[in-house]
Amino acid sequence: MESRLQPVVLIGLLALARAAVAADAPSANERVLDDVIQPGIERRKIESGKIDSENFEVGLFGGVMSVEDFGTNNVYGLRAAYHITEDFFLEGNLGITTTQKTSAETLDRIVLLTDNQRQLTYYSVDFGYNVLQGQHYIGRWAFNTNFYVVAGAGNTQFADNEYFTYNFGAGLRFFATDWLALHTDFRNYVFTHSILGTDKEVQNLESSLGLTLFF
Amino acid sequence: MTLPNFLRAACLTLILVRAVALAADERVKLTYSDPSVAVDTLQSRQEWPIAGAQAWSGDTGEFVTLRAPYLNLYTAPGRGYPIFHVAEKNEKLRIFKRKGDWYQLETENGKRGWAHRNTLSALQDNQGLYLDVTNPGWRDAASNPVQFSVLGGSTSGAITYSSILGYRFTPNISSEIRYTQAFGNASTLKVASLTVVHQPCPLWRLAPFVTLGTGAISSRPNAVILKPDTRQDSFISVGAGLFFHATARIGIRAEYIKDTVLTRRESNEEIEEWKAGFSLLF
Repeated sequence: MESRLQPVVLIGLLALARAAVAADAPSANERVLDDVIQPGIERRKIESGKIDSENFEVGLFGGVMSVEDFGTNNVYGLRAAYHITEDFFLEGNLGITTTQKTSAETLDRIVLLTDNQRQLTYYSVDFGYNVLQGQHYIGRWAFNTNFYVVAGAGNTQFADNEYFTYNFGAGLRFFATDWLALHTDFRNYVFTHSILGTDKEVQNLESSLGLTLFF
Repeated sequence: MTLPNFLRAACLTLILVRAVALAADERVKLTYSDPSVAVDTLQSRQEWPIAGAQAWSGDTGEFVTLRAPYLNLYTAPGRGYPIFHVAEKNEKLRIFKRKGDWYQLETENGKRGWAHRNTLSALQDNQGLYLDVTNPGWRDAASNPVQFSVLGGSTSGAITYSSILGYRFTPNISSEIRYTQAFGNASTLKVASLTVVHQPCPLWRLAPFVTLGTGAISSRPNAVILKPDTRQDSFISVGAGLFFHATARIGIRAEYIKDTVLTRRESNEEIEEWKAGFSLLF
C-alpha cells in the first residue's frame, strides 16, 4: 500500500512545488541568471578555408611476409587511411611479395607454380581503432605515438586464383612531426587455398615498417 | 544465406554500430563537460582588448582571443595525450589546423597544442564575435555530395564485398560506380556496374532508396591445374535499401539487389545480393 501511495504523494508535491515557483514574480537577480544560463550569443561559423584539415594519411611500407609453405619473403606496399574520429580510421592496403619454392618442390623437383604464379598480391580494407595514445621519449625529446588494432577483409591474388582474405593485426604509429608518422605493423592475413591438393587455411604473418604523411 | 539470417546479421550490425557510436558520444561528454569553459557573459565585452592579427602577420588561420578562464592544450589530437600548456583568459590564439574534432592552436609566445572542439566555445574573433566550432549534424549530410561505401554480405551464398563511389547530383538522384567481388566455392565473381540511385525521402534520417543498374560480370572457376575459361556477361540490376545518417560524415547502409545476367545460353541467370556496411560522405 505504501508503495502505491508514494508516487501519488511525490507527484502532488512536485505539482505544488511547480505552482509555488510559477507564483513568484521574476526578480532582477533571476533576469541576470537567465542571461548566464541562456547567453544567446551570436556566433560566427569557423572558416574552414582558413584551417587546414589533416584527416587523410598516405604512405608506403616494407617488411617481410611469411606465406605458409612458400617461405618468408620481402613484401612492399601502399597504405592509405582516412581518420573518421580520433579513435577510428578506415584503411586500405595493397601489398606485393614473391614467394619461394615449397620444400616439396625443392626436394622432389616437381613444379607446382610458374614464376608468374609465385607472385602474391593482396589488397584489403581495414577498420582501425587507436587503443593507446601516449608518448615515447628519446633522449630529451618527446614523441607522440599511438598503438592501434586493425581488422578487415580483402582479396589475395596468388597462383592464378583469387582468395577471400581476412586480416587482423596491430601497429604503432610514431609521430615524428604532426604530419609525418613512422609505423611498425604486425598483421595476419588468413585465406584458404587448395594449391597443395586439399583445402588448407593458411595464416600469413606480415611484419613491416612504414612511413606515412598526413594531409 | 536465408532471409531471416541476413536480417538478423543486419540488425546486429546496426545495433553494434549504434552502441559504439553512443558509447563514443557518452565518453566525449564525460571527458569534456568542463564547467570552466562556460562563456563568461557577466562582464561587458568592451572591458577586454580585441585580438589583433598583427601577432602572426602573413600566416593563415583564425585569430581569436580566449574568453574562458583557461584552455588546456594537448600535445597531439587525442584525449590520451598529455596536456603540456594551459592558455590563460584573454590570451590571443591562432587556430590553423584541424584533425577530426581537434583544432591546433598557437599562443603568441609560440606554444602549439591541440584542443577538442567542445572546449572551444569561448573563442572571440577580432570583430568581437564568438566562434561556432560545432560539428554539423546529420541534417548537413546534404552538403557532402561524394560518398564512399564499403559493404559486406552475401551473393547467392558466397561471401561478397563491394566498394562504391557515388556522387549525388540532386537531393534525390545520385549515381554510383560499384565494384563487387564474390568468393564462391566453385568460382569467383567480379562485378563492375554503374547504378542510378533514387532517394524518395532524402530528409529522413533513415532514408529508403531504390537502385537501377547495369554492368559486366565476370565469373572465373576456381581451379589450380586445369583452368577453364573466364566467362563474361552483361547484366541489369534492380535493388532497394536503407541509408541511415549517423552524422553528416558517416552513414550506415543495407541493401538488396537482384541481378539478371544476360547469358548467351537459353535462359538468363539470376543473382541475389544482400549487403550491409558503412559510408563516408565528403
